[in-house]
Amino acid sequence: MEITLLFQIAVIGIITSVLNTILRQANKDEFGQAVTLIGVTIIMARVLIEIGDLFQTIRTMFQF
Amino acid sequence: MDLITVIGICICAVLLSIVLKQYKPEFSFLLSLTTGIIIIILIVSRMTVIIEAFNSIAAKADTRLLHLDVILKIISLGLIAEFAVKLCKDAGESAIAGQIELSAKVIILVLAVPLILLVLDTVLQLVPK
Repeated sequence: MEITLLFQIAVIGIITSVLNTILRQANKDEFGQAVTLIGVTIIMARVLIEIGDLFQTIRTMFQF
Repeated sequence: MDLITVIGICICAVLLSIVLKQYKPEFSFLLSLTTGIIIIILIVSRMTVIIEAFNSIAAKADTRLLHLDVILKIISLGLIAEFAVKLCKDAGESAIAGQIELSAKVIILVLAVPLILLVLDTVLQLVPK
C-alpha cells in the first residue's frame, strides 16, 4: 500500500546514484546529471499526486 | 491503522532516508515529504470521531455561537503549516520555514477575528453599565 511508494523512491534514488558512478567511470558526467534530473522529476510528479490526495482528504475531513 | 503501523512506516522511511542521504540528498528530502503526507492522510482519516463529537455538540448548542467551521479550518491550517515548517527546517531552509510560519499565523488570525470579536462582545455584555 503506501509503503511501496517509499520503496519506489528509495529504489529510484539508488539506481540514479549507481548510474551516476557508472557514467562517471565512462567520463560522461553530463548524462549522469541528466539521469538525476529525470529521477527527481519522476518522483516529484508522483509526490504531487500524493499532495493532491492529502489536500483532498483534508478538505473532505474538515468540511472546507 | 494503529500506532505500531505508523511507527513501522516511519522507521523504514528514516532508514531509507539515511541510505539516500549519502548518495542523493534530494531524494531523502522527497522521501521525508512523502512519509509525512502518508502519515497525515492515515491519521486525519482517524479524526472523524472527534469531528462527529464536535458536530453533535454544535447541533445541540446554537451553531452561530460555536463557529465550528472556523475552528475546524484553523485546526487543519495549523496541521498542514506545522508539517511544512518542520519539513523545510529538516531540509536546512529555516528562512523559508519562517515565511511559512508567518503566513500561517496571519491567515489563522484573519480567520479568528470574528471569534475574538464575539468573545469581547459577550464579555462587554457581562460588565454592568
